Amino acid sequence: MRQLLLGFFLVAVLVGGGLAQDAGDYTVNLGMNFSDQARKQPTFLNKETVPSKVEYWLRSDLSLRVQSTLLISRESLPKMRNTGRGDAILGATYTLFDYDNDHPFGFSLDYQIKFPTAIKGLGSDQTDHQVTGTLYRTFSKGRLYTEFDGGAYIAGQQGRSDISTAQFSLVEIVGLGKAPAKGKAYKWKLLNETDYSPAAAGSPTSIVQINQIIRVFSPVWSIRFGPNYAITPYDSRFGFAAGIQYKGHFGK
Amino acid sequence: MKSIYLIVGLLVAAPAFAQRTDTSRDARTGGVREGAVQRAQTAEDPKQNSELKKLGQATKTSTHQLKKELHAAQTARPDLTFDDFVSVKKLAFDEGLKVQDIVNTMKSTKPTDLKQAVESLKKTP
Repeated sequence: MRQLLLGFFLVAVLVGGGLAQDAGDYTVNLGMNFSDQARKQPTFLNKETVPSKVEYWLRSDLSLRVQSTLLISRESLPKMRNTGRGDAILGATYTLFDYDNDHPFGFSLDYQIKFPTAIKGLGSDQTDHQVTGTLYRTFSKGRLYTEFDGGAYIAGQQGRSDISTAQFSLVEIVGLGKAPAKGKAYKWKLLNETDYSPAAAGSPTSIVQINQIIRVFSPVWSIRFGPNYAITPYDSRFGFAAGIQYKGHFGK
Repeated sequence: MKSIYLIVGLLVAAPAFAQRTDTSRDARTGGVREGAVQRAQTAEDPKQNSELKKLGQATKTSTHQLKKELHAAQTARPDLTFDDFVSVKKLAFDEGLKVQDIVNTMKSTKPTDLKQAVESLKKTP
């Protein structure tokens, strides 16, 4: 794990920066997720969570974020509910190069560590790590955005060695309606995300589909909402998520 | 008593059954992979981003602030193009005026009206 972290920061220091954001930019996100029970997992019942995230750009190509599940309410048995604080995540994203006039696609690296801050029964009680590489670009004059994510999730296990599983995602975001004039953004967008994790170390294969409608009100405010559903039987069969984002900048 | 044991047993065993990415997913706003929406917004128009960066460097203003000013200017005057905005911003920076004040004073987006708006604002105490 130490080598992985060292490699991540070495790459961050050695490779030239992108133009994704300005140093001092930040975002604040708040959401609400609901997930239904799994088809073939009797212990996985209904769950509601209130996720939050604060992300800050230290440089135009490097951001740090803190994510926290402010509240989880989980049905542990029918008609029995466990409610409380969830886990917290610290993460960093480094954009090696952005999709622009000089690069046919953008590439970023992301590392995150999950701390077991959840109250008993609402988390895994273990520290997890995740490393992800993301390749992205737009097509059709900015109307279609696509990204491919590949990485590993390293889940801590009590009294046993960590379990590492591969993770892949394909994300497409389509701008809806008439193409905006130069200087304006699409007001409505449709997001489709497919997450795939192959079976490993006793964990079954997981394929989850997420759909979201995104409404961009201004460069500052946006909201998103939509359903998600599992194709594989051991994940939540249906869910709904909504979120609001505020974008700001420290300084002029 | 038996049911209490069953409940306690299930609660203790629950983390072992938890999906491997389960608790990380709980922290995702909208359930979506981190940064995807943000990257999509940034990648929508790379050419415009590059022009905004240059304008930002010339006027010592952040890209975020420029986007906000552009949005406010185009809300007040829908016929204002991106290139008009660049001219207005540069002039506003040189003369120490606010973009929104110039936009509100302009009769049209013609360069002559832009200069007239700036002159009249400079005369205003």
